[in-house]
Amino acid sequence: MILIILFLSMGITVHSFAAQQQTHDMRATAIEAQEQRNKMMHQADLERQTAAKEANESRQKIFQDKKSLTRAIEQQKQKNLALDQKNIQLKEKIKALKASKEKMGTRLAEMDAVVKELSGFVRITAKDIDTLIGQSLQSALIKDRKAAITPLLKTSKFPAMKDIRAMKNILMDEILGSGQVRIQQGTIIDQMGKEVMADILVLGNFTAAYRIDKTVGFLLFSDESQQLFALSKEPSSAMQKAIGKYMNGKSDAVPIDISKGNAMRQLTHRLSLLEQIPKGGPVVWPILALAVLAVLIILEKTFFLARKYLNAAPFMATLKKRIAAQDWEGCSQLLARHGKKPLARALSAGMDFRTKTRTDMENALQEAILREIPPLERFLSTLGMLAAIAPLMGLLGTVTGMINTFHTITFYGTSDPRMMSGGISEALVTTMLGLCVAIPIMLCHTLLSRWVETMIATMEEKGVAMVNAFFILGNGEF
Amino acid sequence: MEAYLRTGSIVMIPLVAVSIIMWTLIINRILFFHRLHRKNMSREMAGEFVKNNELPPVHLYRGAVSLLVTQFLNNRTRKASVDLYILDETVMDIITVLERHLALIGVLAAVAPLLGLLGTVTGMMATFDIISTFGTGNARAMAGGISEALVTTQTGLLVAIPGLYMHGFLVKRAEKLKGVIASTGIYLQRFV
Repeated sequence: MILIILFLSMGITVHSFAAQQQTHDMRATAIEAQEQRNKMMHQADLERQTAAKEANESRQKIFQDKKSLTRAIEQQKQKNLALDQKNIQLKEKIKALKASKEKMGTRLAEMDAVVKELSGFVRITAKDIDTLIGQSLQSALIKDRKAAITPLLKTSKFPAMKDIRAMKNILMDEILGSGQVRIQQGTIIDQMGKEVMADILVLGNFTAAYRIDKTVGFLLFSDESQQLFALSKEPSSAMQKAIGKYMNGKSDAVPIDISKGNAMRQLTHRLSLLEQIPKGGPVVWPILALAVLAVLIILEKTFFLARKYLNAAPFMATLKKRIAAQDWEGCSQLLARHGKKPLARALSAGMDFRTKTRTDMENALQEAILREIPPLERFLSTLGMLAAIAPLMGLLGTVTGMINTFHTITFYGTSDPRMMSGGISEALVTTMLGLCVAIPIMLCHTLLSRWVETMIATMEEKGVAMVNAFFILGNGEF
Repeated sequence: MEAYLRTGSIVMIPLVAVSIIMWTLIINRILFFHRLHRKNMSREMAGEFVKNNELPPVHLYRGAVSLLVTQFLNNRTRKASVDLYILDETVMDIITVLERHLALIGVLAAVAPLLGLLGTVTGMMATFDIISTFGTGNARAMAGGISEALVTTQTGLLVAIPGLYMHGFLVKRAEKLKGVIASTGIYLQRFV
């Protein structure tokens, strides 16, 4: 507005300047100009008034605007302040949150580690349980025991609580089972390789025994097929009886294998005497030949002597009676009836000399007795010799066995006792056989020779008795 | 005791049997010899009895000499020439009885240590069986075989040593009695 006014005044100045230039009409023009000038002044005045009014209005407005603006600024400033404060608060909050996040992060890491450890632990335990129940004979009686464990073994994720519980249950079952002695029905694989039902006696985790009808035996557990199978060799009858009694509740003792089957496997390897004999090496055969020879001699001698034996007392009594009655026919009949017995033969030789002198008769008896002795004593010295030789043979076997053992030692050293066992078993088996053969031979030899001696003594004694009987008859005159 | 026998395994059975038979025979023989030794009459007295042809009273004399006298007097014919032979016969008869069972006792005493040795061998076999399965590390497992070996050896010796002693004792006693009877027989010849 102000600017417009300025321009207008300048214009007016310019016009007045031009009018002065034109002199001749100067006055008219001047009036005109005056008039115009007044008009314009008036107009300008008006314009100035409106302008002033307008300016005033606009000033008023500007002032108001300014006022409102300042107020707005003031407000903004306050707002800013508040925001700043809020900002600070938020920053603090962020800081706190960051700290807490960090804290949570470490905690998370810790928890993660714990969880990983736990899952690892669970997996290790599961693996342990897997091997444990794989080897435990309880597994044979519980079907599909391993199924509960397998999910724990395979996944890489954290195991489900359900599986862990299942694992715990298996472990508890195992612990309970290992402390129990019970009899139950179950399928086993018998010696023929067939699956059969049987009464199974379970003694904790150590031993299992079975009973089918009357056969009783031990059971072994196979961890591959997870089944119990009967031991290929039945235990000794005493052991079977003990187990049977225990299963019937009649006894409170039962054989148990605390080595979990090793000892029972040993049972199948145990050799009987017959199986042991070939382990004794070459010396065994002469010892056995010797034993056979000795048995033959003993049998022969026993039968021979039994056949030759005559119960002397009643025989002598009858004979004396007949001699006293001078019944010579009866005497010779009696002697002939026992014609195969040495005693009767010797006495009949004396009887032939009853008419001769006493000395003749005694000589005849003596001779007859001497004649009877060799067949009676035949083989007895051989038998005695065999009894002496048998332990010596055993000793020979011992020595050869020891030689073999020491050979092995010089070749392989003493590190493996198994290597030496061949020689040692040779030594021991021959010694044992030597003694086993010698002891009964010795006993039999003594008994047989005593028998022979008694027979000879009886012959001599009865011979004298007979001579005396004749002597009584002849009143001591012949 | 039962446990002791059990550790010795199967060899203990014949060992115990040998021991029982041997001691039964020994006790039998001891009583027998004791009876023959006890209440023996003197030789002179025996001569008196024979001279008077009088049986010695049973409750007073039970020894070997009175046995001889009784047996002789029961068989005699009162004819001097015959009676001498009958006396000989009686002496022979009694002497045979004296030696009965002694040889068996001796052989049983000799067999016992052999049985002990057999037990040693079987025990050692058991030990070596264990060694061949478990090696030498398992001393506890080997102990069974070793104790079997030692227990049987010990028992064999325990049976044998007194048995041999008793055998010797009894043989000596039998010899002594034989001597007494033989000499009494010769002495009595004077009174026939």
